[in-house]
Amino acid sequence: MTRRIRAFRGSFTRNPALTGSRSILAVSVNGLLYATNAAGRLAQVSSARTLTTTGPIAAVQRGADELFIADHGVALGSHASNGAVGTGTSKFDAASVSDWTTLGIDTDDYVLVIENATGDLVNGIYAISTVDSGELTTSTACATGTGAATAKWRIVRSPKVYDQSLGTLVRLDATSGNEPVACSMVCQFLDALWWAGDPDNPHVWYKSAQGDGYDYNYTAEGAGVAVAGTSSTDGSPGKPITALVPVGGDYLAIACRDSLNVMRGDPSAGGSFSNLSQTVGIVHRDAWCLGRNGELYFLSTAGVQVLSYGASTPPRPLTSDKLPRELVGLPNDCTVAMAYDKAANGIHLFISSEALGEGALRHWWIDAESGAHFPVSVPSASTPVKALAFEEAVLLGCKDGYIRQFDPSCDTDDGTAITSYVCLGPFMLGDGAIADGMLNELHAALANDGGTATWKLFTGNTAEAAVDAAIANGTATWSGTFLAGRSYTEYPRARGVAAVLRLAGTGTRRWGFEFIKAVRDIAGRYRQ
Amino acid sequence: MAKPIDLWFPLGGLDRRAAYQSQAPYTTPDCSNIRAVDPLQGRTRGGQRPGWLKFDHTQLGSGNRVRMLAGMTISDAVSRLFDPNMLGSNWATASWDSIQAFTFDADGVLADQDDGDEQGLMSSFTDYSAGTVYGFGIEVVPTGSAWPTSPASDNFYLFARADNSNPAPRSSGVEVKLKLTNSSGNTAYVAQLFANGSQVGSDATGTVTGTSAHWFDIEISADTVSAWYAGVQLFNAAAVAAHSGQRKFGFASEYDEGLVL
Repeated sequence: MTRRIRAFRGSFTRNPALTGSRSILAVSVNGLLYATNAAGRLAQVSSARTLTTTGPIAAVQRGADELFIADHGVALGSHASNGAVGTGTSKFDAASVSDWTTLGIDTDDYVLVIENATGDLVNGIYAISTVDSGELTTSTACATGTGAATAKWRIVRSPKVYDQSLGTLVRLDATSGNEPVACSMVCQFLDALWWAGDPDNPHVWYKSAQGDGYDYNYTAEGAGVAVAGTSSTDGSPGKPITALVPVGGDYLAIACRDSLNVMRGDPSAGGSFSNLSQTVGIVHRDAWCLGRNGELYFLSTAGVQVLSYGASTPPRPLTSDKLPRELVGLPNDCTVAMAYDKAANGIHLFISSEALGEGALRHWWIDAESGAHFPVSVPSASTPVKALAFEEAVLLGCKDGYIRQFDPSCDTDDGTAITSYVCLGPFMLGDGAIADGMLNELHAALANDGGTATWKLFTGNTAEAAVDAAIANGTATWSGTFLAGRSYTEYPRARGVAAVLRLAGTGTRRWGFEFIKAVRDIAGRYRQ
Repeated sequence: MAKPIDLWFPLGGLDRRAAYQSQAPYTTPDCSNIRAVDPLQGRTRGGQRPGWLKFDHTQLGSGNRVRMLAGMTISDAVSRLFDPNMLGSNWATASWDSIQAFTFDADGVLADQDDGDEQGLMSSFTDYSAGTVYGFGIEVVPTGSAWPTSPASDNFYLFARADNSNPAPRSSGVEVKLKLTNSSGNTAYVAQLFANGSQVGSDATGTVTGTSAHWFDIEISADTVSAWYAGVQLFNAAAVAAHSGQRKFGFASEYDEGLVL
């Protein structure tokens, strides 16, 4: 009797209709948008519009069916001042562009942004209807005449809206004011959308009108109107914003790389903006997660920090006494995927870099209760680059286009054996460091229903020498295999001042640790 | 004088701050892919971290990196079922097609069966649209270190389009059979698709590395039946004709000693 059915899953459209709530997963890969269908599987959303293929994309649900997507990316063209009127009031040209068709403008995805306009040009964000060699044609007039004009301009991706009920992906077209463009971050706080990360205005955040994700009229007055946080009086941190983190309806953390700020309440209705730290911030837009009690965990340049729920005190290091060096001074261009796993009460932290190559940076599992850091290695071809707490699980968006999840019943990483090991020690064999000792016996028991583990015993005349040998994992004089359950007693008779026992899984079956005891004896005064 | 030493598992994780000789208790100077909580029983005694599997079988975007993961909560008529215990009201335990009612022990392990006995569950609800794509599956895992060695095997079955009143999917409905055996520590599978008792197409065979848990899923879209095991598509065939009054679905398992009498 060896089989086991661990769980059942299914997805059905009830008939007669029985309306209930369910979770939908939306994914973007290679510019395409996918969402879970009625059968619970990911299916492509048919649309002429695409999403960026560079960099992580943020998205947030607002309302019953709409997902607002911070589509962004490198501007296809821009200039600080040479925007000009083309051959009509819906025509735009620039001296720096000799042939607009060479820019690769997809009119479904990109918009023309005109700022600092003089003369006949009008500031605004314009959909592009036609791209000709000599000029652009905008969907609405971008000029009041064909006279002289100058303007700052750029061609950027427009934010998008996925309507789940309609199955459509459309451009976000503000009904009032101009929608934020080129932002890489979006979140919802106090029933409004908040955007940030525009590379031309990296210190600015944008807030929609309360209750309306399409209203960006920043000149309106009154409580709940749209606001652009452009100055310190509005609540701009004055530095490039790296992350927006809403914590319920209580506060919004506005983070920079080396500072952390909090917005409480609506800035158009007496909200307050305050600084919590001038030393630590959030290194990446995805380098944070919320714990089970509303605490905010985030990756800073000084390791993982935690901000208690309420944000009444500055953030503190999750562990002050054992911060791994690998988590300090991460490169600016790294990609971080971080999520709180409520089932296992820990934090998944995957750090990678397209520039440095997968595997150049370490991944971590962090025990939320103890703060213990455990290094994680995964198959480089399937490195997780996005993470999301979804229903009861944590989903991992991987480098190879698959969505994966950890499963306590799984022995392998989707078929790839997991290389696991741990160094136990160093422990002194003799009397402190002044005497050699002899390790005579090893008694061990691994979990009954788990796999086996090999052991290697490394000794040295110092603890450092023993550790170095164990980390190098060369050939050991004394080695063997511990079986599931109680193993036979081993008699290594290993001599040295200090020792490390290196335990390693044997591949395709996960193992558990029950106990290991060593019996040692003093062998004599150290004489070397 | 001989002295025993406890070598504790480093529940405190990696720590490289102190002098080597002063390594803090319950910490380690080096480790990889371990956790404080063992994945086998959930005890805080240490062990290898759990592995992962595919949430969805499909490789998205031609295998490029995932750029966005976002969750939504919506209200509609789609019911998602996730039942780790199979004890909910969605299941009827009456026997059908000579398959006996399922019984589990406290850990969710199937109760002992004699050779060839099949145990399963059939859905009790049928109020869903068979005209809209739907799907379901079971997560199967060996409780020991491997599947049985051939000719013995562990067999799993998914049933669909069974009659609402008198379900007999082996003669009227869809059946997907998955036979799992040990292959040098890996999992060898043989899958068969049946419609109304007749096999559709040929066997799907292969090997999956290791003996991990994997999902065995079926999806029905109009007349097309698709099935997957461990992320591998087993079938995608126009297997059945339009139907009405056949919305029961279920699953079963069987231990087959492989003996020929």
